[in-house]
Amino acid sequence: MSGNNQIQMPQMPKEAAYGLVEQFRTLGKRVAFPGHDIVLDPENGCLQFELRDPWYTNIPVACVEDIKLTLDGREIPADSIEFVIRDMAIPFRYAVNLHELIWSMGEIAVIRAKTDVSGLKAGSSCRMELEFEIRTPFEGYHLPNNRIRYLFDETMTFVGKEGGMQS
Amino acid sequence: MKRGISLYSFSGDIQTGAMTVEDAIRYSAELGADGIEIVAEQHLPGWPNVSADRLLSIRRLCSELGLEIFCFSIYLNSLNRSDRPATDDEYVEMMRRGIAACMVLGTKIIRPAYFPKSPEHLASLVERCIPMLKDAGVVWAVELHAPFPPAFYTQTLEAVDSPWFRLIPDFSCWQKAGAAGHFQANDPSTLIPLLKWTVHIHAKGHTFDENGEEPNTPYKELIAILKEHGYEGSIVAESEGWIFNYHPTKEVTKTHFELLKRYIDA
Repeated sequence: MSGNNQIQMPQMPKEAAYGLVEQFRTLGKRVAFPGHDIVLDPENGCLQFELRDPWYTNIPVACVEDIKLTLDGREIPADSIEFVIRDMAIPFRYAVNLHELIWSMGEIAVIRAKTDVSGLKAGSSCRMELEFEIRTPFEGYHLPNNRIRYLFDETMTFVGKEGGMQS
Repeated sequence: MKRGISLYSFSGDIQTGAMTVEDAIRYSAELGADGIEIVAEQHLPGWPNVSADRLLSIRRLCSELGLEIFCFSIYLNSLNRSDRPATDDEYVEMMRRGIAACMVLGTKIIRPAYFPKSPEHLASLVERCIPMLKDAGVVWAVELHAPFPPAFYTQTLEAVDSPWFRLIPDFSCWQKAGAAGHFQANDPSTLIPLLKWTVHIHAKGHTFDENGEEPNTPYKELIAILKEHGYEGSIVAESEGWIFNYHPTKEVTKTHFELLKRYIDA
């Protein structure tokens, strides 16, 4: 083939690209939280909640790039957060290295934070703001920098370990 | 032409566990489909690490229900790794796994979603894979999807010029401008010159009105073209509205498949 015939890439208008981000965020919002419980585990000094893959395909765990978790305005440091998949607890910041481990469409992982939970009471509710960024493994979505940052704002309920999920 | 359903249409419910892949296959048979399309990254948890046993169980079920697996879709992911983009060797490896899965499933067409870098790049990947495709009896069908114009892959198809490299037009290319990602309407007649390469079609749908019509997509004109030109390949209803405007996917897919049948049988 002639190297002179460079392919003409259609230019996605900004409003169309923005629309795609919002569409995918709408999907994420619908599917990401199978429940609204935050399980407290004072014995191990942690809390955790379930998070379903918000993207619409399987993705390598290496695509899970960033997290900002705030509970009632208190930010949990990202370095204290683990991404737990099929009982494998991975320090969140290490997940970007695991390109052969797959988080499947629909699969529920656990976000676990090592933090002092002694002041949190089972049965009470809290506002959880979760910023969660993934890189799309396929680059054909015309998303800025091939990334989507979900901005979840959910009312969650603290529950004791026995009444909650298993990781 | 053979008519069917892409299981992509049900992914909004498969994703949440409201349906299983088996439910979707059975429902497709119930609706009268001749065949289905499977999307590896949606319908095979763990893909590309999937057992032959799992693939065989899907093949068996389809066989029992009289369904052909028209097409097996995979994604050629360039950004699996954080440290660097995929190499050409890795793309070829993705194809090797996809083609092997097709052999187990009994599928003759693979759609590797490819984000175009250049015609030369695509052609070089295809040419590296042709010996595998030929051995397996599987055709690489590149998908033409909005926002790319209808003639986008013509140059590559002509350059490769192989029966193992063909085309899947997606009706999104002829949808009205306006919807996110669909800013470039094309005349239905631009489908005609593509038919000589076409082996499978995605009949895209995003929304349906009270008459069961897809107001953004010129189904009447596009299906008439397929009939006039004696298209004998497969076509599948591929509903996508669940991404941004969820309704129970069984209902939506039923409406969509009936629309498809209505125009094919007209």
